[in-house]
Amino acid sequence: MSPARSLTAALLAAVLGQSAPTGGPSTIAPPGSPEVASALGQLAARLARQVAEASPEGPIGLYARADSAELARGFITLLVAELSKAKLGAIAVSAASPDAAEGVARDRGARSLARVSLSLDRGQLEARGDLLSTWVNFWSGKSPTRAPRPAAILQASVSADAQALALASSSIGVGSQSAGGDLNLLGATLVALPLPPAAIAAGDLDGDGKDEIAALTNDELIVFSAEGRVLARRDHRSLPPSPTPCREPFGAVAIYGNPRRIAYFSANRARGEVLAFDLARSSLRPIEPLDRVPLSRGVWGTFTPGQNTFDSEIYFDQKRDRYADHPFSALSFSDGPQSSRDSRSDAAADGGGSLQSVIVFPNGSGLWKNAASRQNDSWRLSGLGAATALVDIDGNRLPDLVTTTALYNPERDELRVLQGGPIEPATRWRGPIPRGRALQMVAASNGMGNPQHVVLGVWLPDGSGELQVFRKVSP
Amino acid sequence: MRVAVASERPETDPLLADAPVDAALVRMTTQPVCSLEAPHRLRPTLTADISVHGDAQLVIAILPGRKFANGAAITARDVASSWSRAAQPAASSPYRALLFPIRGEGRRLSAGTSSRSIELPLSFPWPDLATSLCHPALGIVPPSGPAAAGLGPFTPARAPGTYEANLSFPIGRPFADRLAVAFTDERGIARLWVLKQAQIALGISDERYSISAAALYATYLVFNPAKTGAEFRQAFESVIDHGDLSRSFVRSPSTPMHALLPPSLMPQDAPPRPGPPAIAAPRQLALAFDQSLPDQRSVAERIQVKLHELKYKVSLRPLPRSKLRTLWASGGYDLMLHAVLLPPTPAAALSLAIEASGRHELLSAELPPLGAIANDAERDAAARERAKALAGSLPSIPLYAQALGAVASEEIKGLHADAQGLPALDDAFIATEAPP
Repeated sequence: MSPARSLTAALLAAVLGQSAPTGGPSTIAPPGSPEVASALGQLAARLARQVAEASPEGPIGLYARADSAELARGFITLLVAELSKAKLGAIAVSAASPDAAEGVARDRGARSLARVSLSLDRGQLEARGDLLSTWVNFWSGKSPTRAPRPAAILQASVSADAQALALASSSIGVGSQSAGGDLNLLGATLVALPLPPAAIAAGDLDGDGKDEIAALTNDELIVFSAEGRVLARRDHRSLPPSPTPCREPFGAVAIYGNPRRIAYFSANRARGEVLAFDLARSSLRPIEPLDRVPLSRGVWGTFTPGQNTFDSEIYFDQKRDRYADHPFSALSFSDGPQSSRDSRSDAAADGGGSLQSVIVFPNGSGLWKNAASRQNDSWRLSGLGAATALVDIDGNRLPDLVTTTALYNPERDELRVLQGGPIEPATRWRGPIPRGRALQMVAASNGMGNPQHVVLGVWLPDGSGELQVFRKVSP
Repeated sequence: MRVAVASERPETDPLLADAPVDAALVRMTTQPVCSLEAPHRLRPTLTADISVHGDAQLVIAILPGRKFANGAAITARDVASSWSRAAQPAASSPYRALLFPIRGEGRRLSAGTSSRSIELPLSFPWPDLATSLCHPALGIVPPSGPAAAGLGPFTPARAPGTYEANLSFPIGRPFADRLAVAFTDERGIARLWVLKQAQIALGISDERYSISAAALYATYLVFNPAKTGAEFRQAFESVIDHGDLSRSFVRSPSTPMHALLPPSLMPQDAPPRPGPPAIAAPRQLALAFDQSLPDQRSVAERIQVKLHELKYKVSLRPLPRSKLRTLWASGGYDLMLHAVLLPPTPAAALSLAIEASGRHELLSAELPPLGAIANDAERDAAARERAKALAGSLPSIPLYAQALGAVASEEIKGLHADAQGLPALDDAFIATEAPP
């Protein structure tokens, strides 16, 4: 039994043992098709139905509170629109607190008031609140007694998406656990995939400064915008089958070069392809066949036949390098100096920027390598999850080591940001992922100088997959 | 990965290897063109595609580059001959019922215009045909003989009982590099288990199984009414408690059957037992059973004892499985314990149950109306209804259904049963030590 195969098999078994997802995000719509409602739109529609069922007297004041003002405002905008569709007049109410909102709504002429608190936690966007009447009986004297109707509890939740996450993370965050107190991440589903991802990659394909995401499955390669919209897809089932296929979805994708190219290679195919992305036509055009596995830009390797690992020998352009002792399951590169207080990082800094890399082996061990240091230093790591990458979480060009759980069958997979460099890494932040088991991870940029966010390729128990995204928010 | 099996040397011909232990082992080296992920969801293994052309035809495209364990390329002709072998009268196989909807009942199959495709013209619409082709009995065998290994996740090694991972298996090599299989009895398995010389035990009775498998290996008592008399069913039911058979005379996991299809395919309750009929005169009957199955011997002896109370003098006739099948096909039996591995779809299972009961001629009347129902759930429901309606008229009495008991040690992960109720040893793996 090769250890290389066992870890991912373990992860697959663990995934199969988890509960099925509920209320998942929209599935992939083909390019050009009508867009599926966003999570915020779905939440507004559900709440509007609950409001309408209570038959409130209009106009209805709408008050929303969230840790992110943009999230609250965006939600109110959509809720007003939904109520208007139901022929209910609604006005937005701004107030310092839910209690104060009642008076403000009354002053503005609203006859009913819906007060809602929004939260985003563990991938769920939730709205909770109430609906009440603002009408005061003239005969009630100094105590403004409320009318009996409408009176309703409002509650709804949907799976968060990238838009909700962007709004929630644009201001003060509402994230979960923060070990060190200096970092907080929020996660949400970016897009659902019909099959589990075999590999993912991020890169700016259209030159807008935001990274697009390429996801490879056993059937196709799909390119998504940063917001999760399908930009293009290519079915690779017409490629000849591999003589030694891998039992699990496995492969490699890389985005590189100028003009930008996407290279991919599925372990189920005998060869890969280099593609050009045509944004105007929403298409991927084959440029040339590929007989080597694209591990990163300018870095090539080969599959271990029939297994979910790459051979230890890799190629930097044409130069062969025995990069690791054993076949490995993941490799992540970063350009910046390492985030380490260790003096050895100075050597890297002397080089004026270095090529940091982390290699993950199937047994959860790893290797942090600094290719540009004078000593070509490398440090052993342990306890890494299958999805591991170097990510510039803070936007300071210092890569952080981000990984998932190393446990065989955890109750829930989690994301961990480690600090302190490779010598004594400590957990800087940890939190559960919305659902499923993460098998791939890449760093995606949202423009120069901005913090990178973490994109996860996740396998779900129902045999499908999804991409999840984690962004930094204020602690 | 070390596997201990409670069995003698198993059958290797897929048409005969239908006992769960046999089927589980044959599945390692000889697979059909597809496997079932769920009763109505197949996963092609050998084929590139199974396409339905209207109601009248199924076209199977064979992937290029697929090879038998002996290195010979698998052609469409090999696939066609493997299937038509099941349909030949000489094979005496009840599994020919799975091919009944094909024109000519599948006896004259041939490769299509391309050497890589097979066209299956249908006599009537039969939406379950594609999934029926995933039945283990329809494993694709090489021209050298049905006992030789076909294409599976493992290939037989030179050492007896050893199987090597097949790197070229179309859905990916198995996780284990090698299987070492020991054939022994339950006592031998217990010994191997204590000595940690087995990591997976198959075919044993245990309180805690490592997999949950559908019990689809159904055993029927088929009888010849001309020899047993018209009152035989009532006599049998009056003295034999199906639950008692399943509880006390058949190894677990097993479940009593009170309907033509097992409980995993149709819900059922135990009906009230009838009183004994008036027997005019003692009858001498021979009860044939599979000598390789200890459960059948126990059940046969129990039937012998209980029927004796009603003046039936039953002699036991243990036979090798191939001879039992020949006897079944000839119809020259008085009583016979006949076990078949039912597919997990009710309509296809019903066709096999009818065939196993010796009423092949009923298929042409029963199957077309079912096949005309395109919706899977509605067709399944209709098949259950027909199973209820037919139960009393077929010359067979459903007795019990069995699954394969499998126990794995703690280090073995990923072992599960497929939709056919067979353990997928190729998905099992040995967990490495937890990461530090």
